[in-house]
Amino acid sequence: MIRFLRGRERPAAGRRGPYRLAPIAAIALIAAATTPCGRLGAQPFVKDLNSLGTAVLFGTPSREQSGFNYLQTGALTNSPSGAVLAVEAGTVLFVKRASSFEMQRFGGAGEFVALAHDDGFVSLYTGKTLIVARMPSSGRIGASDSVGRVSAEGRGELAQYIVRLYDGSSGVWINPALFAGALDDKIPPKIEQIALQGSGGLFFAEGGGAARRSAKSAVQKIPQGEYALAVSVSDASSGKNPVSGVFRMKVLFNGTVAFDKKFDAARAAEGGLSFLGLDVPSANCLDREGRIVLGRQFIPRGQNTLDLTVFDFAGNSARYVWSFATE
Amino acid sequence: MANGLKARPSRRRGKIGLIAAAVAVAYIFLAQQPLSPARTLSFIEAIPRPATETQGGETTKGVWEARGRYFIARGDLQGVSEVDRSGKQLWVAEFPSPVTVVDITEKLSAWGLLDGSIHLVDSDGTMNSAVKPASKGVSSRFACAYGLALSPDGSRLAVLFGLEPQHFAVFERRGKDYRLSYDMKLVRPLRGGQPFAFSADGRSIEGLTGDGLVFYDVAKGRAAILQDSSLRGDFEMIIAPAGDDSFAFLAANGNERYAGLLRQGRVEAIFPVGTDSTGILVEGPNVIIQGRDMLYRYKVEGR
Repeated sequence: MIRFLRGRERPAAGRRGPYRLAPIAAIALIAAATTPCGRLGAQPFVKDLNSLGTAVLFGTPSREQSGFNYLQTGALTNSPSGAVLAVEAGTVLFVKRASSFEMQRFGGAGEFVALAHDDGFVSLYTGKTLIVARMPSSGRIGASDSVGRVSAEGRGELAQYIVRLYDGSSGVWINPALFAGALDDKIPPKIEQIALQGSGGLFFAEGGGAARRSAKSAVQKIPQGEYALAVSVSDASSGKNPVSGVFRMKVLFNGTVAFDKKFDAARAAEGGLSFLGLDVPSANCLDREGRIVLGRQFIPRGQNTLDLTVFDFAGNSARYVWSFATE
Repeated sequence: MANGLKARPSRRRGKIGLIAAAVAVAYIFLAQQPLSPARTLSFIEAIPRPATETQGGETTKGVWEARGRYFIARGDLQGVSEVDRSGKQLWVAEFPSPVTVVDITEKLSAWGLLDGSIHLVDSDGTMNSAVKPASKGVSSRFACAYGLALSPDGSRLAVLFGLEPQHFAVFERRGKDYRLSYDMKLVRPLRGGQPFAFSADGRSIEGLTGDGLVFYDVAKGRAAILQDSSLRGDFEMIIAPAGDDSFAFLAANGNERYAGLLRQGRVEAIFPVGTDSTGILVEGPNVIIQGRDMLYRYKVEGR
């Protein structure tokens, strides 16, 4: 598990956690903790992620009109030149191009390209406007070679694509922020809502702007019992900075750590993706309203306090303390 | 006299040799011919394409149809849902890796993934089984599914798998599991999704590989590669079973489009079609080429 450091320090490698990262990922995390830009020569490096309009989407709930409800694994990346650059040297693993027979192809017209890297990583590049480049006959792509081009969808918009990283040796999707170097995100995440759902009903505290202030509390009376704790959090852009994304959620219940979960990786299993150590599929991490479920907690009688602190990847944090009486 | 007596067996041996050679040549020649008469496609009619054409492929935006079933892909291609005709969601599945290739039967759906695994899902959305070729002796440096065909009864699975080297492999169902029954290494790999299909009778497989068209005979458990001069270069292809043992195909090479018939590993018919041809449908004995505004109907006939 990554030990999170407050402020602007970088995450470091540790031992415990919902899963064990592959050695290669652990090395990358150590590198991230010890080098200014968090990069080793042989590791993937996600370029152009530290600019206006970029956003780490890893762990961000997605609700598609077609009814899908899941957590994302990518990072929205700018390309000022329009070129989509490989995160490191690798072999072209798969190319999906616009088809002459689009009607009969599953997955629509969107193109994507996947590169397999010698260290076991696979990088995946997608985008609404992505046109995959013609690949060399050798199938080899150099570090920083272009694998395609993107264009702005409209006037004043940025040319963007989504990059995703998969660690094939340990079977986990990795948060691309871990390989993006320093992210100049100065805006803290926002706690929208904390909810307790159990046999006694649904209870929630809404933060809004006030949630960022510590010791701001809401008081309610809640029946004793076991509850699922879910939170609605976001990491928005100020319009000037990149969004490093919600990374860590720590909950103290009556002063004791109840949950301490990170969006550092998602385990790939037969039934889908496992985030935060919860069962697959990733929809299991979301309740009906799209809040992120952190786990279950027994709420005893008496005066109780839930103290939630949310960090983004750049180290900015927001805190909300919810005090309530239980009958 | 002594010389004459010695010459007779030599002449006999020569005749026997000639006969044997003739038999061998005849066998080699006949072995290349199909047992039943060759087939061709006869043009029947061209009709305007209905505005609500819904057979085969993408129908209303985002809904993909195959074998009378309707599917929606998740934005990141790592999930799928089946819906009914009205759009009501029947089931939803999430996969560990993005979908690269698909095949659908009436009772099963097979999803080949970027990580090389193949996930089989029952028609009610229950996970039936997951096949990992790499764990069944099909070893490549990089795992990925590039082509996929599921037999009509779900008892066999063919896959174009991996890089360095790329394999054409066939698996047979044994209980809940699929076991490797055939594996062929290929010389020239392809890095995009390729068309593969079982014949309607489930006895043969046709598919496109970098080495050429592959034909697999289920009964013999053998595959052959066909390098047809008419299907060379960088082209895209779709293959659909037509009749019991034949396949109709539509190929695109730049702006050129070709349609035709494949049978027993041979190209039995090939002819140019309109550059706006976007799909192929098979309805009984008829093959329909979908143009932008028209449907061109052909009949499969014996020569």
